Amino acid sequence: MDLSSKNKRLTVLAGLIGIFFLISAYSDQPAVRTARTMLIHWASLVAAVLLFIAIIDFVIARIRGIKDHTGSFIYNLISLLIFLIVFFYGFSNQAGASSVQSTVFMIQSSVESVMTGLICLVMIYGIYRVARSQRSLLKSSFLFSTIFFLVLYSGFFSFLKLPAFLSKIIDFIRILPVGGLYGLLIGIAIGALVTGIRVLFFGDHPYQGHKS
Amino acid sequence: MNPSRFGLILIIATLLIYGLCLFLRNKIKLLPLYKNDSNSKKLQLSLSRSIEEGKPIHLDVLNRDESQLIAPSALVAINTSEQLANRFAASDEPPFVTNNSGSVHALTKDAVKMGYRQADLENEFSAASLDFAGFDSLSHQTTMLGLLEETPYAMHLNIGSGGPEIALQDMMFQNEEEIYIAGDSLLGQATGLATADDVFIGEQLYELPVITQPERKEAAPDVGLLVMDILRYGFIVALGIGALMILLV
Repeated sequence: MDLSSKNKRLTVLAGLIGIFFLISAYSDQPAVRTARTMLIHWASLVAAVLLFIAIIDFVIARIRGIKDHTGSFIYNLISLLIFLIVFFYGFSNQAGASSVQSTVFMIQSSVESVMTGLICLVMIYGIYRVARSQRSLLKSSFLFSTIFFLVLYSGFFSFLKLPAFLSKIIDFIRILPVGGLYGLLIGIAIGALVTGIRVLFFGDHPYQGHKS
Repeated sequence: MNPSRFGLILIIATLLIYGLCLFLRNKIKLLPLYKNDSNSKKLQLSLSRSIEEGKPIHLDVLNRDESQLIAPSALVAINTSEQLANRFAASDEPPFVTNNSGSVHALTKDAVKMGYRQADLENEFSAASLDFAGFDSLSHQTTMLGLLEETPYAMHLNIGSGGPEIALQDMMFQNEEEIYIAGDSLLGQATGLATADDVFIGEQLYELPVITQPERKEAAPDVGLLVMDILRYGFIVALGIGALMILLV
């Protein structure tokens, strides 16, 4: 069997499993549901193995970086050292595995807190930059609508005695972002649907063997 | 609980429309709407400039999280990585691809290899042009920023389910480095409008594999995008009829 015919068979098999998975969502048969659950478990196991391989790849890339002097030497060295410390300490101290895990998560969560603060600062600077930029109509309208809806949703207008027709207009404007949100979500959902169908019915496969 | 029958009807209808478009593609002149987008033209221009100037580009493939095997937006990103690898295969600097998930890492590696193979330059593929960079959203951004610290890139294309943490790139990269964001996260899109050079909003995300294709491949319109256009107008008509019925009844 040559490589292309083997790949074609694998593609057909993957497609059939995908179609079975789709149809099984509409079935109440216990046997079908069991098979579906089993497939999910297998997929999770494969995903776990792939994650393990990705981590090995990450470590190899850091060693390669140190050896070939590519990328930041400090970054590669620190990443590798921390990985080795956590790895060997975690394996040698099985009894205290939960304490190792909680320590790692504690360090990670403190770094993440700092990063969240930085994101806030960057976004404030980004808004300032958008305010100064006059080139993009989309960005300018985004900024003005952000300011407008912040004022609108703050309840500022509820303190004013507005005529009835103006209140109706404000109530109408209040629901506009919801319409925009639905529009975006419908667009994303249509794209996801078409992408799913392309993958499922053999149009598009992100692995070896597709497109001659 | 079973999903609604409407979902199944929608899937079958989409499949039929897809088949019809595939069949009629060469018989009727179908006009895709995506070709006139200003941001797609800007992205194509940036890609061409990167190749001419011999500057590397960076693609970040973002999967939603480990609980979802592969999100549709990540599939788009994987396809785009293949197109970019094909387009940059003969250039001085290969594209650098980062990702945040084990399964996406494996598929991206294959897709990039495929891109080189399509350009008959499979030997040019280097494992160093791909890196797995942490799977938690914030950890991924910090790991990735560390990886990219010393090399100035012409552009950074973020595709997938990136959230507000994408804003960190604006702080880390030089002003000359362009940042593009395309994803299915509403927060990520809103952040991108304030911090990125350009954002592919909503369904524009799904146009990226076609936009990033090498120019010689653009002869026939992409069937998937035509189907998206048809479905979009179908939804608009259906919503219009629904609104009229509410008004009249």
